[in-house]
Amino acid sequence: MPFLSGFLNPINIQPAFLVPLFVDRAGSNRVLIQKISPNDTVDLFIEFDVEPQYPLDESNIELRPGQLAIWGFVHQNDEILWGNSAELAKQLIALLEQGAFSKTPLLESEVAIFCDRKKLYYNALKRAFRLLGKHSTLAAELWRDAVILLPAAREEIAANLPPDVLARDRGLRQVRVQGNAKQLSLFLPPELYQHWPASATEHLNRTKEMARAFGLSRLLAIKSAPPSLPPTERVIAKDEPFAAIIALSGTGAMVARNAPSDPRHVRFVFHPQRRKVAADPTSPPLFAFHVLNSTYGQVEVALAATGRWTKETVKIAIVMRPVGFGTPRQSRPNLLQLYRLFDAFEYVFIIANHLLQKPGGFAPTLNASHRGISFARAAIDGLMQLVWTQNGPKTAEQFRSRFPSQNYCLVGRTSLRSGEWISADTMNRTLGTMLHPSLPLSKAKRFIALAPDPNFSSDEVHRALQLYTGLDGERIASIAIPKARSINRIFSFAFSIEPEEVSASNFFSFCLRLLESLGWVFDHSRIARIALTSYPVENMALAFVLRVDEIAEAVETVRMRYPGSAKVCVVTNFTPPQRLIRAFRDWSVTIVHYSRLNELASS
Amino acid sequence: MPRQRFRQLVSTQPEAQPRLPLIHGTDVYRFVDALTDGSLTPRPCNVFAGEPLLYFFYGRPSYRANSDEFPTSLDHYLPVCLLFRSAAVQPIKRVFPFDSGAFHNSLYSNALHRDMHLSDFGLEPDPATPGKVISLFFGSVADYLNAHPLPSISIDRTDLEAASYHALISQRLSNSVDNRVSGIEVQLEGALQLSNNVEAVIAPGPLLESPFVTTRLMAAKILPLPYPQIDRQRPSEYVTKLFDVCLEYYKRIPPTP
Repeated sequence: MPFLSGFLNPINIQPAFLVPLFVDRAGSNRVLIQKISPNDTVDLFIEFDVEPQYPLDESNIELRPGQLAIWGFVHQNDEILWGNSAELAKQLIALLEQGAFSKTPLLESEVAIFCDRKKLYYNALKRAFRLLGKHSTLAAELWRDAVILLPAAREEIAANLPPDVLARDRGLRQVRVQGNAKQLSLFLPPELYQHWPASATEHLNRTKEMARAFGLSRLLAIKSAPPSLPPTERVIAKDEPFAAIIALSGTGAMVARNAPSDPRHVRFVFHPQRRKVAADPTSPPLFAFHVLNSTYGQVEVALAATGRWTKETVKIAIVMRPVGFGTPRQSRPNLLQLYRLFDAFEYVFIIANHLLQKPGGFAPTLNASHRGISFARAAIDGLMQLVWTQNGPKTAEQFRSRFPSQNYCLVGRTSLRSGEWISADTMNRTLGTMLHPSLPLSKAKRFIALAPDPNFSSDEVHRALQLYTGLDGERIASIAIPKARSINRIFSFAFSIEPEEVSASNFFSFCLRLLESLGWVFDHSRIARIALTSYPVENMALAFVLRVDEIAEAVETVRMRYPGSAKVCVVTNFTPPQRLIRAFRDWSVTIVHYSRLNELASS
Repeated sequence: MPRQRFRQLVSTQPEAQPRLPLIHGTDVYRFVDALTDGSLTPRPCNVFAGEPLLYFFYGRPSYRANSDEFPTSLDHYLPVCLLFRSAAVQPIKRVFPFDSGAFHNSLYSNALHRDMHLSDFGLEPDPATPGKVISLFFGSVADYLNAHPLPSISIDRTDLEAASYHALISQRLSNSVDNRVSGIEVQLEGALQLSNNVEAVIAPGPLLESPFVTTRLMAAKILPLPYPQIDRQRPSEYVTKLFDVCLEYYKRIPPTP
């Protein structure tokens, strides 16, 4: 029967757990260690190639398989504590409660879990997360999700599934968890998800408790495909479709990357891996993008420029709305007047994304123009990425059959940070870039989102898209595009939206959606059309008005409804007169155009 | 004279993307020495006698760090895994589709013909070679990481080494064998600097709290990926294996060339 002969400190720092070492008989140099079972008894002894650092001079401590395992710990100055787990825990609890390990929260968490001190364990986990976060947020999150929460989730999932399902170990090993904002998402492979009872999430108590220690207050079980990485890019289509861009304005020229702004000049967009063809290919392009400003003259020029295309080419207009944050100029065509474009065009994209947030700095108009140009480019880039996917539409007929035409379209776009996982919050941000007060997303006949992520068609993304667009699932599609061929962005498209006159109700919905996409948290009243914020600004009351003469009444409504609110803000869709702004400021009321909502957090 | 069939067959394959880091497994003591010296020093090898070699596994920690078999030495009991950028491990000395030490110790003998030598499985010493093995035998990087070989491969009947290798990685003798055989081994001759070459290190959590270790990791911009030491001392079937940490790392942080 093995004798305890000493201890090894496997990480050579103090304090630390030790590895007890044994010999099979006195004087033997054949060192053994315990293989400890999950119920803390010795399974068997295994020969181990190591020398003890803390030898015991005389030991008559025998241990046999089946008995409680021996544990060791070195505190400071080589002070060794040891015993079975209960005995050692008793010694360690005193140190734990004195805060002896508070500077090393990773070790502290291990000591706390060994001693079964839940509260101290959770506190240590929080501090370990913060400590790792100083090095890298990603490292901290990976540790939290994959090393701490995943084992707890797996154990509880195993307890809630039928044994025959569990026998397929591969399914359990493919479970993943990922925390984001306040939610912990639990990804179950299809073979487990189909056996997952709807109420089972309620039984994941330990997982939820541990997640709350990290500030993750919601747990959501989601069906996922098995984990995968971007696909191998092996097959390149020889004849991928291409597009033509016709720039009808200086802005259009920048969208087409400095081609002349001349309707006679056509710039082509080919698949990046296709061999170069002649500048004027004989086969027709799939798309003809006409980029124009919102003027009556350019509308007529655009209509005339479509004459060269046959029915094999889809004719698309990309209309840049004027840069102006406030009451629009009457000399420019509005959405009803732009309907004239449908005499020749099948799809008309309205680029007003740059009007959602007024830029700061010295040249806000220039910055806004550049922003508009990037969204116009996104419309072209995103549609080409769609077409170049394996199952993407390859002919004009296929495109028309999938995407309803003859009404306005919107485009959204978000850049992904390195390593960013696409979540509900990412989709919220993306959809927030494509809002328009007269073109509600909920009225789109078709909506698609594209992203360079093989898991992009997950349930979580689909649910987020339904939630943030207000559309039913059948009108929505999320499509993965190969990362090798894409810019690291998400693109979103809404097709065939009939414009609505801006009413109090839809302006209110538009503003709430914009605030949500900027990460604001608030309560609201649809009847009174007011909101009270809690994040990022606490206790700010918002009212939303379309006319100057509504401001005073709106302020009164807000003050009656939220008498304790620290700040009052009236959001408009017109340029409020300066004298009015000054007058209301004296009453502690701020009046802003919706394009300046993003500034409210810092004001 | 080593047979070239297997090498030629693999060299004609496309490389599966993305290209993964190369993982060197060691123990705590050697890791601390490496941090002190700023470089990883090779050790004498009993398979390629006289050659100072550093061993790496492509994309996965060595099978020993993940095996369900109980470890018998410190580098397996409490492993430290250094994730090197693939471009850092140059020039490559050798590439094998499996652990050459396990082959040398006849652990694969039940799947291979007795006349097959280790050199028959030697592959082109090129950074793209592991990806080519993956294309042919696994289909995708994800399946390689999960140790799921293709159920069948299209090869000529004379590609005996390829057929044997496929049989080897497909066998299911026990759980511990599943991951053992299919890690692609890459060898480098000589020492290797840590700074600018190591992306991340997977190590026991308490070790990564040591001020000495923390300072050096931060200075070298190496990401710490801790695991609980106590999970290795009292393992359960639910704890996260080091392979899981790697897979999650790759999902969140795209491999750098």
